[in-house]
Amino acid sequence: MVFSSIAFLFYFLPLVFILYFGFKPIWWKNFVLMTMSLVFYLWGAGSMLFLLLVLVLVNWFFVLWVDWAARRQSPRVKAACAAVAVCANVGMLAYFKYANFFVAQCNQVLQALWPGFRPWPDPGILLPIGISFFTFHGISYVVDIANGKAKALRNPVDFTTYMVMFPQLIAGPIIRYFQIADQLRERTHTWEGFCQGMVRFCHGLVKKVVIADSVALIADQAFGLGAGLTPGLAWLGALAYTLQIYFDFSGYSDMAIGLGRMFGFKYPENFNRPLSAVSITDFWRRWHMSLSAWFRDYVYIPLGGSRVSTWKTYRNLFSIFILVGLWHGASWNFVLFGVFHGFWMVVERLTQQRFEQDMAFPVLHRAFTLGLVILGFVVFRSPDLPHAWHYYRALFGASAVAAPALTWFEVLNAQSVGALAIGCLTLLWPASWVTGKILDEGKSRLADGLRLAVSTAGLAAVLLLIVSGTFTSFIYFRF
Amino acid sequence: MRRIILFISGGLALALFSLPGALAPWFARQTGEDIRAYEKREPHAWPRPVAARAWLETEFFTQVGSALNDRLPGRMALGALKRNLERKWLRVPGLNSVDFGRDGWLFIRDAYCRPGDYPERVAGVLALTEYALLRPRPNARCRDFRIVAVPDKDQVYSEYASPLMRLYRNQFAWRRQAMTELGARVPEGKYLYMLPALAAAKAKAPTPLYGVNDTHCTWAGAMVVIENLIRFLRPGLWDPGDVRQEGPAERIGDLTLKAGLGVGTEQYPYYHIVRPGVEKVSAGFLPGEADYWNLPQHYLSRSRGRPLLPGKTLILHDSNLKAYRDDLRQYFQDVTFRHYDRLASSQVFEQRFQEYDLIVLEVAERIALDSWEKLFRDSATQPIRDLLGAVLQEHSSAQFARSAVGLEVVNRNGRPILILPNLDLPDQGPYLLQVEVKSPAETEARLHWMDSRHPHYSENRFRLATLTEGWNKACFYLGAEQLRHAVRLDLGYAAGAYLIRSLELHRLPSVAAGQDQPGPEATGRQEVRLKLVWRSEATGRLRRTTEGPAVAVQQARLSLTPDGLQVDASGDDPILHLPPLTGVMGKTACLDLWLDAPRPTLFQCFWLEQPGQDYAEDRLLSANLQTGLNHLRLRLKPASLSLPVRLDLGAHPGQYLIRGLELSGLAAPGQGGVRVALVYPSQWIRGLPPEAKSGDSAFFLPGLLERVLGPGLLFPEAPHVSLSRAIDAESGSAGFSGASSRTASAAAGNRLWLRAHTVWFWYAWRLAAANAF
Repeated sequence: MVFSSIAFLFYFLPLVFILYFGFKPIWWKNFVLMTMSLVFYLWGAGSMLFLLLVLVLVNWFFVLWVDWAARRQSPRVKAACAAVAVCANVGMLAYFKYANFFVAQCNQVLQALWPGFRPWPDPGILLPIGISFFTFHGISYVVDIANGKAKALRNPVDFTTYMVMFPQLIAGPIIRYFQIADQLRERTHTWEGFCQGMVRFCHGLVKKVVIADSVALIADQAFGLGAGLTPGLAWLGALAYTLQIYFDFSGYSDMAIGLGRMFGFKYPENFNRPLSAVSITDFWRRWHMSLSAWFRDYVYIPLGGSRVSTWKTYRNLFSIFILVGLWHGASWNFVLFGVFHGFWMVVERLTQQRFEQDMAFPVLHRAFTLGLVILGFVVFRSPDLPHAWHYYRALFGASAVAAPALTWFEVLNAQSVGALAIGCLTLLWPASWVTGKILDEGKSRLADGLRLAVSTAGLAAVLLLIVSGTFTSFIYFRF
Repeated sequence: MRRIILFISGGLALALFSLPGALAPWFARQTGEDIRAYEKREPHAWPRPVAARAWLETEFFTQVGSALNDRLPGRMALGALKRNLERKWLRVPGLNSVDFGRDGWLFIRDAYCRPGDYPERVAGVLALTEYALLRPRPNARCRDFRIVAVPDKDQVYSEYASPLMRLYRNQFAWRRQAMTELGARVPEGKYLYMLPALAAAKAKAPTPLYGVNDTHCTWAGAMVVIENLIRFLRPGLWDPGDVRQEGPAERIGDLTLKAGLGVGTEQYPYYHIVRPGVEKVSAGFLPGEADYWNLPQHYLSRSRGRPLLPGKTLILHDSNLKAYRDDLRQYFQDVTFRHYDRLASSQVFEQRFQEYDLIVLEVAERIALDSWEKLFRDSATQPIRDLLGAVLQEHSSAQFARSAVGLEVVNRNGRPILILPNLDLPDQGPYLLQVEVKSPAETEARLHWMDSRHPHYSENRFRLATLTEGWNKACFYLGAEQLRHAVRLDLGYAAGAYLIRSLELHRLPSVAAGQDQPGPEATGRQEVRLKLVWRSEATGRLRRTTEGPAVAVQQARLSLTPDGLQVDASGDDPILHLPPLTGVMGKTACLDLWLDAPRPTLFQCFWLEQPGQDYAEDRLLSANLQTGLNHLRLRLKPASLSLPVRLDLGAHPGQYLIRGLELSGLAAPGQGGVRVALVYPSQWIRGLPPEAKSGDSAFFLPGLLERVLGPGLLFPEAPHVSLSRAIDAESGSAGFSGASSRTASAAAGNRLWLRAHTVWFWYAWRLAAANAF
């Protein structure tokens, strides 16, 4: 079930509100959240629900042991239990997400080495929706408890609620356990908080349905073309995809944060105008911040972070970004995406050009960074490496085009141009220039009225688009 | 102030998200009607979880989601609003079927073609055209064969074409060129392309020749077409003075419906033709085809003074001329109009139409260019005619290909059709045709047949099988007579890839329907006394109980079990007679049957209308059964219930279980003068005292739940009230007097689903009940 579906918006969500706010006790609210989240997952993933439940059980059980060992001051037992739980999470992720890829790569290599080699059969393993997110939640829980950052949850309902809460279950943000540990046991519900959450949710819907889905039409056409892709169209398609993925993913995050707020949770922010970044380092401080923070806390710092030799720091950085790429999917495209970003991170560290305060002409840096980000997303969007190569050649006019397969007029229409313009306006300029001055900071009645008008118009547009059936699935579901 | 704005925004959003779902039950009927009107399909039915594992399949929830989507109040109105905005402001349709032109003009998308397509498309189409096959045949057998091509609206009114279409002005020239090439293949003087005539008339006409919101000509445009057609056929026959103009008349644009814009009416001057002295001698539909919207029509005329085209004429036409039959027939002595969608194979065409002196084929330009094969069904150019021993028929929108599993049929936007060969089967029947097919979505497969009196496929002669997404085994029960000619299998309307794994034809062991002779494995007649419980629909109280015999006629052994009436079938034609049910009045009775089947098979229900009759196929309802529990709803005439109703439970041996059987109808006055329903045969209720209300619904799983949870919790009285009202409303037109068989209503499955899985909200029940009819 996607957030922008009729089933979710008009049936599931109101039902959750009725059940959740029907009774006051926190155990009831957690129970409702847990139950409805399982229904939510069952709706989209079917029998994969059992896998999720197994993972929940394994984490809960082993972390109780970790907690017991910590209280008994048995560090070895504690470490062993934590290691088992982490391995269970990582193993499950590796098996379900990477086994097909691994077998295919092994077959290729072995067939190249030994022509008579009979390839192993394709495992044909189905990828459970959201596995990248809930396994990371599990790891976060285990490590935070093992490190003494938070207390273990003895109540299975509370723990299951943390693991499977539907707002962030299948597309994040990745919430580290210590961030909401207290809120699971005690949180406040106010009408103001609910309204704030609802408005945030609607903003996310607008981002997803009105902008991302409209510019997706451009991106899909450009990336769907083989021959006949002109450089202009290729750049337009790449820009459109960059906007699409940002508005799609950040819209989803807004919806998740908004839903969490409605239920009394305060989720961490996931995006901070990443396409206005002045460097790739800056970009990763603003893009999918919960993922970056997770890798920083649970992988980069344990590897030594930047408190090791320069060479090892670069190695750590590079490794992290290969992992980040692989996290997005089992494909060489994603590995290359990680390598690309890792390379630029290293370059920036070498040149000390990372943050705005270091720079003489931030606007130029911003434009350059945006160009790099767009180039990075080309390989991310392409179905395979040959397609990506073809697209890069088209971007730089290196592929011969006898006749354009599509004209600008066919690709652009009023709706997609409008969405593209809104996307660029709200993203490419600094925060305070367009939206900030009026919509965020304005205190006059005009600003209030404008806010209400924008919210209402956006919501109306969303309803029109959703009900008339033009929505698509979220991109981030496969990660 | 900011907080107030926040509260308003949040509250507004909450209301917008909450209200539609809450209001859905009250608008369910309306949304269903909208879907039927605008999308030409049935609303998605609620899924039927026949087994617990269904809950673990995402397909189940996908179906629930589709059903919820279809029942959202205001769905169509919001869609229309969006497309109106697109039409007025954005000029870009959010759908691929209709283009938004300038000044509000609508155009059908089929005509549009991107550059590069046409040279290839024209060459391909002309090389493969059926015309090459067709031309020698009718020309050899009739004196004259002519083709009249009517241009598409955008050819004539290209200045209003959508920006996208106008971008490639060359496409209009290409299409004209293609039509000219097509004409060059037809003997001289036998082909007329109407574009020049319409273009000339457009310059003079004060009103549009095509409807702004319509694919077709206006009355003024139709007069131009008719004038040129008549001049083409017989110069000197046309007299402009025969055209009468009357005040403006309204018409509904088909493109507004197609685009989901709402019902768009427009007014144009009304023209029609009156030829003084020409009298209609006879007019009528062709025999045996009386209830189909697109039926062929035959006219005989005579004239005093005004010349008529002599001889027998056949006009094959499409929707352009359909509305003008009465104008055109005044020029012909003996003319038959037939929509070319009604044509069968060209062999049939040959046999049937050789008697005509003149055949005129009127066809729209885009059809002529795109899909000649649509006109005449059996093309020698089909690549896989040998597959499965069938002659495959490629609809213009479908592609056929071999795959490792079987025959893959990709349906892009139409209905893929297969013609199975004439099999020269022995006359003993009946037969069961089983098609194992994977469907891309829920849809309906149809099996059409011809007979010697009606050598063409018709809406009067088909059987239906509901296909769900995924693998299905569709069963079609056919008599030997129906297999005497090639039968036609329409796979379904849903777009996507169909995969046919097998086609099996079984001759069933029993002799011809209507003679209940025991088959070789018959076990003889056996009776079981069943308890009939009469209860009031209004109050739910049990009124009385009676008893009646259920009779196993052949290949069946009956036994009463705690779960219901068990039927052990020893052969593949188990037959059971229900006891006579007297005392039910009204026009329609609704028989609900909950039946466990051992495997996918075909269920049939025969009834009699008067004593002494045989069970025959013109009094037959059939339904496909899936493995496990099935819910069937059969609507019967109450009078027929006073004679034994025959149930052919399936075509496979095994254990069948009738879990419940409920008859809803209007009671005879002697039964208390209230609405009653009969519930039987479950042994569960046998021991209950008549006043035990909980027994009313205790014949099924929810009955158990209700007994545990308390009466009235699961099934409040309201649903039954609405149920009986719905039956009354239906009774005026319901009843199965036609020969075609029908499956039990798919929508009826809603009830099963809701009953079986604990309805939490009364409104949800209302929603299902409203859609069950």
